Amino acid sequence: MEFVDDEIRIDKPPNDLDALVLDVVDVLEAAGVGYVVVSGYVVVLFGRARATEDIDVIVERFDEDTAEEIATALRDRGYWGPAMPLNDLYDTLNDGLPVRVAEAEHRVPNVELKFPTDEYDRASLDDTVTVRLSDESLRVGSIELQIAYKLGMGAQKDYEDALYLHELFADRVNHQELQSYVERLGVEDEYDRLD
Amino acid sequence: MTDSTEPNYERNREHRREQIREWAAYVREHPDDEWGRQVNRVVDAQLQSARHFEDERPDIDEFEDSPLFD
Repeated sequence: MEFVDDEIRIDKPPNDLDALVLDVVDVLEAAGVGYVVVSGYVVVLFGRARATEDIDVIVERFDEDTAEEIATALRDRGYWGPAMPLNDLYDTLNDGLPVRVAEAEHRVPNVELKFPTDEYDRASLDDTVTVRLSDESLRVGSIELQIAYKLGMGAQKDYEDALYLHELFADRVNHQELQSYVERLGVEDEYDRLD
Repeated sequence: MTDSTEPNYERNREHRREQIREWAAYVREHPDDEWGRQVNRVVDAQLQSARHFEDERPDIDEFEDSPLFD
């Protein structure tokens, strides 16, 4: 793993999760839609060997025409909405619900798209890190926010994800920024237990 | 009543944490291709298994209002 300017470079072949998310974010980028990949998949991308089937992606709000463009591009690439038709992309997101995207006739793995719903979704979109994986790239949420947010989720799996990121990026995280997120999320006790 | 399983649970949890710390150190210190191949094997095998059984399991959205998910 290399840290070059503001970019993290990972030189490994993509797995099936990587291939799916790279393809879907390519559609979003082609439509000019800002996005950020967050949560469990990010931890797996950085090397934690654990199971996950969903890739959470927060997308900047877009209009109905853009939604149609995205839905058409996803269908053309062989994707469908296993929970609801891609035709309902805009209405579903606009109702505050996530939209799952998976390869046609499959439900796993899937990318879960959603509009930002709280200040942390907003912060994730505003504070991203570019990860270059082989010849492609994607934007993930800042490591500091990922760690603090995972600590707030409460499950053992999430605590372990936070621990993994904290260990992996021990010399790289901005401790002031991490402390600030920890305080905003009220996870000081959980954070203290990481050491 | 004392829960006789608690010390084992705590020991197991600490053991898992130690494994995570060791794996993070391994990833930091080894070429991406080396740890990447191992992670890819875990991820792809799990997805293959999940896909094999995906038609047999219910859609979780059908149960979102269930008290089991509180």
